[in-house]
Amino acid sequence: MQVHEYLVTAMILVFILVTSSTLVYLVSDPLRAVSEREQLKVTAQKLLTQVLLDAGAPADWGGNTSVTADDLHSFGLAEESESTRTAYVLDADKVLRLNRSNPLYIPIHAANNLLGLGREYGFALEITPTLGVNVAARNGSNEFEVSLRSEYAGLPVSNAKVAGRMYYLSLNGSTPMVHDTLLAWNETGPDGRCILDFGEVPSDVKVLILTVDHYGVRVTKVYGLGTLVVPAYLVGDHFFLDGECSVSPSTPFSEITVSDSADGPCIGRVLSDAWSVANGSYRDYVLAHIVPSVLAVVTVCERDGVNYLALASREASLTYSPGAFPPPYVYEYEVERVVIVEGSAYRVKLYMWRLSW
Amino acid sequence: MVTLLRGKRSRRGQLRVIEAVLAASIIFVVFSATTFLIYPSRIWVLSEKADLNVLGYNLLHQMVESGVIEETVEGNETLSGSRLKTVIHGFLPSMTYFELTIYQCAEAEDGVGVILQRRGEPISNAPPDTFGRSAEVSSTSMVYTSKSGNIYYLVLVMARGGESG
Repeated sequence: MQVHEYLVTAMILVFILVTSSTLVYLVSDPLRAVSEREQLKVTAQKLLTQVLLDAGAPADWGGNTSVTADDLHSFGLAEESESTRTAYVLDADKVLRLNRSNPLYIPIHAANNLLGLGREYGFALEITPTLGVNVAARNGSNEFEVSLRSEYAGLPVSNAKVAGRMYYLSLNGSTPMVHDTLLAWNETGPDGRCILDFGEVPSDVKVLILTVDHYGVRVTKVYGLGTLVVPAYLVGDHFFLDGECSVSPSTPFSEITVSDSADGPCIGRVLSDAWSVANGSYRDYVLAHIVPSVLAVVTVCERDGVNYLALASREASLTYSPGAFPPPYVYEYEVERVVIVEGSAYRVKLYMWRLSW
Repeated sequence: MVTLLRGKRSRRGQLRVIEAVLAASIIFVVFSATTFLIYPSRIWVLSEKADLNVLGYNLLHQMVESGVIEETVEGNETLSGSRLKTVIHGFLPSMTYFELTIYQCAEAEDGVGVILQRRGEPISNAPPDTFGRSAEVSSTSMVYTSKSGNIYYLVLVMARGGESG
Protein backbone atom coordinates (compact mmCIF):
# COMPACT_ATOMS: atom_id res chain seq x y z
CA MET A 1 0.00 0.00 0.00
CA GLN A 2 1.13 3.50 -0.81
CA VAL A 3 1.34 6.24 1.77
CA HIS A 4 -1.72 8.01 0.31
CA GLU A 5 -3.75 4.79 0.63
CA TYR A 6 -2.87 4.61 4.33
CA LEU A 7 -3.90 8.23 4.70
CA VAL A 8 -7.23 7.63 2.95
CA THR A 9 -7.84 4.53 5.11
CA ALA A 10 -7.09 6.50 8.28
CA MET A 11 -9.44 9.31 7.17
CA ILE A 12 -12.23 6.82 6.42
CA LEU A 13 -11.75 5.21 9.84
CA VAL A 14 -11.88 8.60 11.55
CA PHE A 15 -15.01 9.47 9.55
CA ILE A 16 -16.66 6.17 10.56
CA LEU A 17 -15.78 6.83 14.20
CA VAL A 18 -17.18 10.37 14.17
CA THR A 19 -20.36 9.32 12.31
CA SER A 20 -20.95 6.39 14.67
CA SER A 21 -20.60 8.53 17.78
CA THR A 22 -22.93 11.18 16.29
CA LEU A 23 -25.46 8.46 15.45
CA VAL A 24 -25.25 7.01 18.92
CA TYR A 25 -25.91 10.48 20.37
CA LEU A 26 -28.78 11.15 17.96
CA VAL A 27 -30.40 7.83 18.78
CA SER A 28 -29.91 7.87 22.54
CA ASP A 29 -30.66 11.51 23.36
CA PRO A 30 -34.39 11.58 22.46
CA LEU A 31 -34.84 8.21 24.16
CA ARG A 32 -33.12 9.53 27.29
CA ALA A 33 -35.33 12.63 27.28
CA VAL A 34 -38.50 10.55 26.88
CA SER A 35 -37.41 8.17 29.61
CA GLU A 36 -36.60 11.01 32.02
CA ARG A 37 -39.94 12.71 31.36
CA GLU A 38 -41.74 9.44 32.01
CA GLN A 39 -39.73 9.03 35.18
CA LEU A 40 -40.78 12.56 36.18
CA LYS A 41 -44.47 11.74 35.58
CA VAL A 42 -44.32 8.51 37.55
CA THR A 43 -42.42 10.22 40.39
CA ALA A 44 -44.98 13.07 40.48
CA GLN A 45 -47.91 10.62 40.64
CA LYS A 46 -46.26 8.64 43.44
CA LEU A 47 -45.37 11.81 45.29
CA LEU A 48 -48.93 13.15 45.20
CA THR A 49 -50.22 9.80 46.45
CA GLN A 50 -47.76 9.96 49.36
CA VAL A 51 -48.65 13.58 50.19
CA LEU A 52 -52.44 13.08 50.03
CA LEU A 53 -52.91 9.58 51.41
CA ASP A 54 -50.22 9.38 54.09
CA ALA A 55 -50.51 11.08 57.47
CA GLY A 56 -46.76 11.52 57.89
CA ALA A 57 -44.78 10.64 60.97
CA PRO A 58 -45.51 11.47 63.71
CA ALA A 59 -49.11 11.18 62.48
CA ASP A 60 -50.33 14.06 64.67
CA TRP A 61 -47.68 16.51 63.49
CA GLY A 62 -50.29 19.02 62.27
CA GLY A 63 -51.95 19.92 65.57
CA ASN A 64 -49.01 19.01 67.80
CA THR A 65 -47.21 22.31 68.34
CA SER A 66 -44.16 20.62 69.86
CA VAL A 67 -43.39 18.92 66.52
CA THR A 68 -41.17 21.04 64.28
CA ALA A 69 -39.75 20.33 60.83
CA ASP A 70 -36.69 18.71 62.45
CA ASP A 71 -38.91 16.20 64.30
CA LEU A 72 -40.70 14.94 61.18
CA HIS A 73 -39.74 11.49 59.91
CA SER A 74 -42.04 11.48 56.88
CA PHE A 75 -44.23 14.03 55.13
CA GLY A 76 -47.94 13.53 54.43
CA LEU A 77 -51.07 15.68 54.79
CA ALA A 78 -53.78 13.05 55.32
CA GLU A 79 -55.98 13.34 58.39
CA GLU A 80 -54.88 11.12 61.24
CA SER A 81 -57.37 8.64 62.61
CA GLU A 82 -57.00 5.81 65.08
CA SER A 83 -59.70 3.61 63.56
CA THR A 84 -60.85 4.32 60.00
CA ARG A 85 -59.47 6.81 57.56
CA THR A 86 -61.23 8.30 54.56
CA ALA A 87 -59.17 8.70 51.43
CA TYR A 88 -58.41 12.21 50.18
CA VAL A 89 -59.38 13.92 53.45
CA LEU A 90 -56.60 16.26 54.58
CA ASP A 91 -55.76 17.56 58.04
CA ALA A 92 -56.36 21.33 58.11
CA ASP A 93 -53.55 21.89 60.64
CA LYS A 94 -51.05 20.11 58.39
CA VAL A 95 -52.17 22.07 55.34
CA LEU A 96 -52.09 25.41 57.17
CA ARG A 97 -48.55 24.73 58.39
CA LEU A 98 -47.49 24.96 54.73
CA ASN A 99 -48.41 28.65 54.81
CA ARG A 100 -45.24 30.75 54.99
CA SER A 101 -46.77 33.17 57.52
CA ASN A 102 -47.76 30.39 59.95
CA PRO A 103 -45.60 30.45 63.12
CA LEU A 104 -45.06 26.69 62.80
CA TYR A 105 -44.31 26.74 59.06
CA ILE A 106 -42.68 23.64 57.58
CA PRO A 107 -40.03 24.88 55.10
CA ILE A 108 -40.33 23.36 51.63
CA HIS A 109 -36.71 22.18 51.63
CA ALA A 110 -37.53 20.08 54.71
CA ALA A 111 -40.52 18.53 52.89
CA ASN A 112 -38.28 18.00 49.85
CA ASN A 113 -35.79 16.02 51.92
CA LEU A 114 -38.49 14.06 53.78
CA LEU A 115 -40.00 13.01 50.46
CA GLY A 116 -36.59 11.80 49.30
CA LEU A 117 -36.37 14.19 46.36
CA GLY A 118 -32.95 15.56 47.33
CA ARG A 119 -31.34 17.81 44.75
CA GLU A 120 -32.78 15.92 41.80
CA TYR A 121 -36.37 17.18 41.78
CA GLY A 122 -38.26 20.25 42.88
CA PHE A 123 -41.97 20.51 43.59
CA ALA A 124 -44.74 22.98 44.40
CA LEU A 125 -48.26 22.47 45.73
CA GLU A 126 -51.22 24.67 44.88
CA ILE A 127 -54.46 24.28 46.85
CA THR A 128 -57.53 26.13 45.58
CA PRO A 129 -61.29 25.79 46.15
CA THR A 130 -63.10 23.73 43.49
CA LEU A 131 -65.38 26.68 42.75
CA GLY A 132 -64.29 30.24 42.09
CA VAL A 133 -66.06 32.51 44.62
CA ASN A 134 -66.01 36.27 44.17
CA VAL A 135 -67.59 38.68 46.67
CA ALA A 136 -68.18 42.39 46.09
CA ALA A 137 -69.79 44.88 48.51
CA ARG A 138 -72.57 46.97 47.00
CA ASN A 139 -72.07 50.73 47.45
CA GLY A 140 -70.23 50.29 50.74
CA SER A 141 -73.32 48.73 52.33
CA ASN A 142 -73.69 45.36 54.02
CA GLU A 143 -75.21 43.95 50.86
CA PHE A 144 -72.82 41.63 49.05
CA GLU A 145 -72.96 40.22 45.54
CA VAL A 146 -71.63 36.67 45.47
CA SER A 147 -70.52 35.33 42.10
CA LEU A 148 -69.72 31.64 41.50
CA ARG A 149 -67.76 30.37 38.52
CA SER A 150 -66.25 27.04 37.61
CA GLU A 151 -62.48 27.20 37.73
CA TYR A 152 -61.57 26.09 34.20
CA ALA A 153 -64.22 27.18 31.81
CA GLY A 154 -65.26 30.16 33.95
CA LEU A 155 -68.88 29.14 33.49
CA PRO A 156 -71.45 30.48 35.99
CA VAL A 157 -72.52 27.99 38.66
CA SER A 158 -76.28 28.14 39.14
CA ASN A 159 -78.56 26.59 41.79
CA ALA A 160 -75.89 26.73 44.48
CA LYS A 161 -77.07 27.46 48.03
CA VAL A 162 -75.07 30.33 49.50
CA ALA A 163 -75.18 31.16 53.22
CA GLY A 164 -73.29 33.88 55.06
CA ARG A 165 -72.96 35.39 58.50
CA MET A 166 -70.97 38.38 59.72
CA TYR A 167 -69.13 38.64 63.02
CA TYR A 168 -68.34 42.18 64.09
CA LEU A 169 -66.67 44.12 66.86
CA SER A 170 -69.25 45.68 69.14
CA LEU A 171 -68.16 48.48 71.47
CA ASN A 172 -71.54 48.86 73.16
CA GLY A 173 -71.32 48.40 76.91
CA SER A 174 -68.23 48.26 79.08
CA THR A 175 -66.33 45.45 77.31
CA PRO A 176 -65.79 45.05 73.57
CA MET A 177 -67.47 41.87 72.26
CA VAL A 178 -67.81 39.86 69.06
CA HIS A 179 -71.42 39.90 67.90
CA ASP A 180 -72.99 38.14 64.94
CA THR A 181 -75.66 39.02 62.39
CA LEU A 182 -78.56 36.84 61.34
CA LEU A 183 -77.78 34.10 58.84
CA ALA A 184 -78.31 35.38 55.30
CA TRP A 185 -78.87 32.91 52.54
CA ASN A 186 -79.77 32.81 48.86
CA GLU A 187 -79.47 30.66 45.75
CA THR A 188 -77.43 31.53 42.67
CA GLY A 189 -79.33 32.24 39.47
CA PRO A 190 -78.48 31.21 35.89
CA ASP A 191 -75.73 33.87 35.84
CA GLY A 192 -74.09 32.30 38.93
CA ARG A 193 -74.83 35.38 41.07
CA CYS A 194 -76.88 36.12 44.16
CA ILE A 195 -77.18 38.83 46.78
CA LEU A 196 -76.65 38.43 50.52
CA ASP A 197 -78.08 41.26 52.60
CA PHE A 198 -76.95 41.49 56.23
CA GLY A 199 -79.01 44.59 57.02
CA GLU A 200 -77.67 47.07 59.55
CA VAL A 201 -74.28 46.15 61.04
CA PRO A 202 -73.22 48.67 63.70
CA SER A 203 -69.45 48.33 63.10
CA ASP A 204 -66.82 48.64 60.37
CA VAL A 205 -64.63 45.96 61.95
CA LYS A 206 -66.12 42.70 60.79
CA VAL A 207 -65.51 39.23 59.42
CA LEU A 208 -67.60 37.63 56.69
CA ILE A 209 -68.04 33.86 56.63
CA LEU A 210 -69.47 32.36 53.46
CA THR A 211 -70.41 28.81 52.63
CA VAL A 212 -71.54 27.50 49.28
CA ASP A 213 -73.28 24.17 48.73
CA HIS A 214 -73.44 23.00 45.14
CA TYR A 215 -75.27 19.65 45.07
CA GLY A 216 -73.33 18.41 48.10
CA VAL A 217 -69.98 19.96 47.19
CA ARG A 218 -69.14 22.57 49.82
CA VAL A 219 -66.81 25.54 49.44
CA THR A 220 -66.15 27.96 52.33
CA LYS A 221 -64.58 31.41 52.37
CA VAL A 222 -63.46 33.71 55.19
CA TYR A 223 -62.98 37.45 54.68
CA GLY A 224 -61.64 40.02 57.14
CA LEU A 225 -63.23 43.39 56.34
CA GLY A 226 -61.70 46.68 57.44
CA THR A 227 -58.23 47.64 58.58
CA LEU A 228 -58.80 46.69 62.20
CA VAL A 229 -58.87 42.95 61.54
CA VAL A 230 -55.49 41.38 62.38
CA PRO A 231 -54.39 37.91 61.27
CA ALA A 232 -53.97 35.13 63.82
CA TYR A 233 -53.17 31.44 63.39
CA LEU A 234 -54.82 28.37 64.84
CA VAL A 235 -52.68 25.23 65.13
CA GLY A 236 -54.35 22.41 67.02
CA ASP A 237 -55.83 24.12 70.09
CA HIS A 238 -53.22 26.92 70.07
CA PHE A 239 -54.25 30.40 68.93
CA PHE A 240 -51.17 32.40 67.89
CA LEU A 241 -51.38 36.17 67.85
CA ASP A 242 -48.82 38.87 67.02
CA GLY A 243 -46.74 39.66 70.13
CA GLU A 244 -47.84 43.31 70.15
CA CYS A 245 -51.51 42.34 70.54
CA SER A 246 -53.11 40.86 73.63
CA VAL A 247 -56.44 39.31 74.54
CA SER A 248 -58.03 40.14 77.88
CA PRO A 249 -58.39 37.02 80.12
CA SER A 250 -62.16 37.45 80.29
CA THR A 251 -62.62 37.73 76.51
CA PRO A 252 -64.14 34.63 74.93
CA PHE A 253 -62.95 33.12 71.63
CA SER A 254 -65.65 32.48 68.99
CA GLU A 255 -65.12 29.18 67.18
CA ILE A 256 -67.05 29.32 63.90
CA THR A 257 -68.31 26.13 62.30
CA VAL A 258 -70.41 25.17 59.30
CA SER A 259 -73.03 22.46 59.63
CA ASP A 260 -75.73 21.03 57.41
CA SER A 261 -79.41 21.62 58.06
CA ALA A 262 -82.58 20.73 56.17
CA ASP A 263 -82.59 24.17 54.50
CA GLY A 264 -78.93 24.07 53.52
CA PRO A 265 -75.63 24.99 55.14
CA CYS A 266 -75.73 26.74 58.50
CA ILE A 267 -73.00 28.88 60.12
CA GLY A 268 -72.78 29.03 63.90
CA ARG A 269 -70.32 29.61 66.70
CA VAL A 270 -69.24 28.11 70.00
CA LEU A 271 -67.58 30.25 72.68
CA SER A 272 -64.44 29.04 74.38
CA ASP A 273 -62.10 30.35 77.05
CA ALA A 274 -58.34 30.31 76.68
CA TRP A 275 -55.24 30.85 78.75
CA SER A 276 -52.00 32.41 77.64
CA VAL A 277 -48.65 30.63 77.49
CA ALA A 278 -45.29 32.19 76.53
CA ASN A 279 -44.14 31.44 72.97
CA GLY A 280 -41.37 33.60 71.45
CA SER A 281 -42.48 36.52 69.33
CA TYR A 282 -46.11 35.35 69.30
CA ARG A 283 -48.72 35.35 72.01
CA ASP A 284 -49.95 31.80 72.35
CA TYR A 285 -53.43 31.16 73.76
CA VAL A 286 -54.50 27.60 74.48
CA LEU A 287 -58.23 27.13 73.88
CA ALA A 288 -60.11 25.27 76.62
CA HIS A 289 -61.94 23.18 74.00
CA ILE A 290 -62.01 23.13 70.26
CA VAL A 291 -64.99 22.03 68.16
CA PRO A 292 -64.39 19.61 65.27
CA SER A 293 -64.21 21.12 61.78
CA VAL A 294 -63.78 24.66 63.03
CA LEU A 295 -63.60 27.07 60.09
CA ALA A 296 -62.32 30.19 61.87
CA VAL A 297 -61.69 31.57 65.34
CA VAL A 298 -62.44 35.23 66.09
CA THR A 299 -61.77 37.22 69.23
CA VAL A 300 -61.23 40.80 70.39
CA CYS A 301 -57.65 41.86 70.98
CA GLU A 302 -56.05 45.12 71.97
CA ARG A 303 -52.94 46.96 70.74
CA ASP A 304 -51.83 50.41 71.92
CA GLY A 305 -55.24 51.03 73.45
CA VAL A 306 -57.11 50.24 70.22
CA ASN A 307 -59.46 47.26 69.90
CA TYR A 308 -59.05 44.90 66.94
CA LEU A 309 -60.67 41.69 65.75
CA ALA A 310 -58.16 38.83 65.64
CA LEU A 311 -59.10 36.33 62.93
CA ALA A 312 -57.60 32.87 62.56
CA SER A 313 -58.93 31.48 59.30
CA ARG A 314 -58.79 27.77 58.52
CA GLU A 315 -59.41 28.28 54.83
CA ALA A 316 -56.88 26.04 53.14
CA SER A 317 -56.15 27.95 49.91
CA LEU A 318 -52.39 28.37 49.51
CA THR A 319 -49.35 27.79 47.35
CA TYR A 320 -46.38 25.89 48.76
CA SER A 321 -43.49 26.70 46.52
CA PRO A 322 -39.70 27.19 46.86
CA GLY A 323 -39.78 30.57 45.09
CA ALA A 324 -41.71 32.26 42.32
CA PHE A 325 -44.97 30.57 41.42
CA PRO A 326 -45.56 29.10 38.90
CA PRO A 327 -41.97 27.83 38.74
CA PRO A 328 -40.01 29.04 35.68
CA TYR A 329 -38.72 25.66 34.54
CA VAL A 330 -38.46 24.32 31.01
CA TYR A 331 -40.31 21.09 31.63
CA GLU A 332 -42.61 20.34 34.47
CA TYR A 333 -45.37 17.87 35.09
CA GLU A 334 -48.66 18.65 36.76
CA VAL A 335 -50.95 16.21 38.58
CA GLU A 336 -54.14 17.12 40.38
CA ARG A 337 -56.73 15.61 42.69
CA VAL A 338 -59.77 16.79 44.63
CA VAL A 339 -59.56 16.61 48.42
CA ILE A 340 -61.69 17.57 51.43
CA VAL A 341 -60.33 19.87 54.14
CA GLU A 342 -62.66 20.55 57.10
CA GLY A 343 -65.65 19.53 54.98
CA SER A 344 -64.79 21.84 52.06
CA ALA A 345 -63.70 20.65 48.62
CA TYR A 346 -60.32 21.80 47.32
CA ARG A 347 -58.30 21.05 44.24
CA VAL A 348 -54.67 20.12 44.92
CA LYS A 349 -52.19 20.57 42.07
CA LEU A 350 -48.68 19.21 42.29
CA TYR A 351 -46.09 20.73 39.97
CA MET A 352 -42.88 18.81 39.65
CA TRP A 353 -39.68 19.47 37.72
CA ARG A 354 -36.16 18.15 37.45
CA LEU A 355 -33.43 20.28 38.91
CA SER A 356 -30.66 18.45 37.00
CA TRP A 357 -30.74 16.78 33.60
CA MET B 1 7.19 -9.92 -9.65
CA VAL B 2 7.48 -7.00 -7.17
CA THR B 3 4.84 -5.02 -9.11
CA LEU B 4 2.49 -8.03 -9.05
CA LEU B 5 2.86 -8.37 -5.24
CA ARG B 6 2.26 -4.65 -4.71
CA GLY B 7 -0.90 -4.89 -6.89
CA LYS B 8 -2.24 -7.79 -4.78
CA ARG B 9 -1.52 -5.94 -1.49
CA SER B 10 -3.15 -2.80 -2.80
CA ARG B 11 -6.30 -4.80 -3.73
CA ARG B 12 -6.30 -6.40 -0.28
CA GLY B 13 -6.02 -2.95 1.28
CA GLN B 14 -8.95 -1.71 -0.78
CA LEU B 15 -10.92 -4.78 0.26
CA ARG B 16 -10.23 -3.99 3.94
CA VAL B 17 -11.53 -0.46 3.43
CA ILE B 18 -14.67 -1.76 1.69
CA GLU B 19 -15.14 -4.28 4.54
CA ALA B 20 -14.86 -1.46 7.09
CA VAL B 21 -17.41 0.65 5.21
CA LEU B 22 -19.75 -2.37 4.97
CA ALA B 23 -19.32 -3.06 8.69
CA ALA B 24 -20.13 0.57 9.50
CA SER B 25 -23.23 0.39 7.27
CA ILE B 26 -24.40 -2.78 9.03
CA ILE B 27 -23.91 -1.07 12.43
CA PHE B 28 -25.89 1.94 11.19
CA VAL B 29 -28.74 -0.28 9.92
CA VAL B 30 -28.82 -2.16 13.23
CA PHE B 31 -28.92 1.12 15.16
CA SER B 32 -31.74 2.46 13.01
CA ALA B 33 -33.76 -0.73 13.38
CA THR B 34 -33.22 -0.75 17.15
CA THR B 35 -34.36 2.87 17.42
CA PHE B 36 -37.44 2.11 15.36
CA LEU B 37 -38.28 -0.84 17.59
CA ILE B 38 -37.63 0.93 20.89
CA TYR B 39 -39.02 4.41 20.20
CA PRO B 40 -42.70 3.63 19.49
CA SER B 41 -43.08 1.49 22.61
CA ARG B 42 -45.37 4.28 23.99
CA ILE B 43 -44.40 4.08 27.62
CA TRP B 44 -46.26 7.35 28.22
CA VAL B 45 -49.56 5.62 27.56
CA LEU B 46 -49.00 3.37 30.57
CA SER B 47 -48.21 6.20 33.01
CA GLU B 48 -51.06 8.40 31.72
CA LYS B 49 -53.54 5.54 32.00
CA ALA B 50 -52.41 4.81 35.54
CA ASP B 51 -52.95 8.47 36.41
CA LEU B 52 -56.39 8.49 34.77
CA ASN B 53 -57.38 5.42 36.79
CA VAL B 54 -56.41 7.15 40.06
CA LEU B 55 -58.11 10.36 38.95
CA GLY B 56 -61.28 8.39 38.13
CA TYR B 57 -61.31 6.79 41.56
CA ASN B 58 -60.67 10.20 43.16
CA LEU B 59 -63.65 11.70 41.29
CA LEU B 60 -66.08 8.86 42.11
CA HIS B 61 -64.93 8.84 45.73
CA GLN B 62 -65.49 12.59 46.16
CA MET B 63 -68.89 12.36 44.47
CA VAL B 64 -70.19 9.68 46.79
CA GLU B 65 -68.55 11.13 49.93
CA SER B 66 -69.95 14.62 49.28
CA GLY B 67 -73.46 13.27 48.78
CA VAL B 68 -73.63 14.41 45.15
CA ILE B 69 -75.49 11.25 44.14
CA GLU B 70 -78.23 11.88 46.71
CA GLU B 71 -78.54 15.52 45.63
CA THR B 72 -78.71 14.85 41.89
CA VAL B 73 -79.91 11.32 41.23
CA GLU B 74 -82.25 10.50 44.09
CA GLY B 75 -85.72 11.97 44.12
CA ASN B 76 -85.64 12.54 40.36
CA GLU B 77 -87.50 10.21 38.04
CA THR B 78 -85.19 11.28 35.24
CA LEU B 79 -81.49 11.63 35.90
CA SER B 80 -80.46 15.27 36.05
CA GLY B 81 -77.53 15.03 33.64
CA SER B 82 -76.79 18.75 33.42
CA ARG B 83 -76.46 19.08 37.22
CA LEU B 84 -74.10 16.15 37.45
CA LYS B 85 -72.12 17.39 34.46
CA THR B 86 -71.53 20.76 36.17
CA VAL B 87 -70.35 19.04 39.34
CA ILE B 88 -68.00 16.69 37.48
CA HIS B 89 -66.57 19.62 35.52
CA GLY B 90 -65.65 21.23 38.83
CA PHE B 91 -63.69 18.15 39.89
CA LEU B 92 -61.78 17.27 36.73
CA PRO B 93 -58.71 18.91 35.18
CA SER B 94 -59.17 20.74 31.89
CA MET B 95 -58.81 18.75 28.65
CA THR B 96 -60.19 15.60 30.22
CA TYR B 97 -63.07 13.81 28.55
CA PHE B 98 -65.44 11.73 30.65
CA GLU B 99 -68.54 9.58 30.35
CA LEU B 100 -70.38 8.59 33.49
CA THR B 101 -73.01 5.89 33.36
CA ILE B 102 -75.15 5.23 36.42
CA TYR B 103 -76.88 1.91 36.92
CA GLN B 104 -79.29 1.20 39.73
CA CYS B 105 -79.28 -2.30 41.15
CA ALA B 106 -82.71 -3.87 41.52
CA GLU B 107 -83.97 -7.28 42.50
CA ALA B 108 -84.66 -9.59 39.56
CA GLU B 109 -88.19 -10.83 38.91
CA ASP B 110 -87.28 -14.31 40.11
CA GLY B 111 -86.24 -12.77 43.44
CA VAL B 112 -82.86 -14.46 43.30
CA GLY B 113 -80.57 -12.39 41.09
CA VAL B 114 -79.87 -8.68 40.71
CA ILE B 115 -80.45 -6.67 37.56
CA LEU B 116 -78.81 -3.40 36.57
CA GLN B 117 -81.10 -0.66 35.29
CA ARG B 118 -79.43 2.29 33.63
CA ARG B 119 -80.49 5.66 35.07
CA GLY B 120 -80.92 8.01 32.10
CA GLU B 121 -78.41 8.60 29.35
CA PRO B 122 -74.67 8.54 30.09
CA ILE B 123 -73.35 11.96 31.18
CA SER B 124 -70.50 13.01 28.95
CA ASN B 125 -68.52 15.97 27.68
CA ALA B 126 -66.79 14.01 24.91
CA PRO B 127 -67.44 14.43 21.19
CA PRO B 128 -68.61 11.24 19.42
CA ASP B 129 -66.01 8.49 18.98
CA THR B 130 -63.53 10.23 21.33
CA PHE B 131 -62.91 7.12 23.36
CA GLY B 132 -62.45 4.99 20.24
CA ARG B 133 -59.74 7.31 18.92
CA SER B 134 -57.92 8.07 22.17
CA ALA B 135 -54.53 6.51 22.77
CA GLU B 136 -55.37 5.82 26.38
CA VAL B 137 -58.77 5.33 27.95
CA SER B 138 -59.37 4.46 31.58
CA SER B 139 -62.45 2.90 33.09
CA THR B 140 -63.21 3.11 36.80
CA SER B 141 -66.23 1.67 38.52
CA MET B 142 -67.69 1.84 42.00
CA VAL B 143 -70.64 0.33 43.84
CA TYR B 144 -72.34 2.80 46.17
CA THR B 145 -75.18 2.39 48.62
CA SER B 146 -76.91 5.70 49.21
CA LYS B 147 -78.30 6.89 52.55
CA SER B 148 -81.78 5.83 51.47
CA GLY B 149 -80.61 2.30 50.73
CA ASN B 150 -80.46 2.38 46.93
CA ILE B 151 -77.52 0.58 45.37
CA TYR B 152 -75.79 2.23 42.43
CA TYR B 153 -73.13 0.97 40.08
CA LEU B 154 -71.14 3.89 38.70
CA VAL B 155 -68.95 3.48 35.62
CA LEU B 156 -66.66 6.33 34.66
CA VAL B 157 -64.71 6.28 31.40
CA MET B 158 -62.07 8.97 30.90
CA ALA B 159 -59.55 10.06 28.29
CA ARG B 160 -57.15 12.94 27.85
CA GLY B 161 -58.06 15.56 25.30
CA GLY B 162 -55.68 16.36 22.43
CA GLU B 163 -54.28 12.83 22.09
CA SER B 164 -55.30 10.20 19.62
CA GLY B 165 -53.93 6.81 18.87
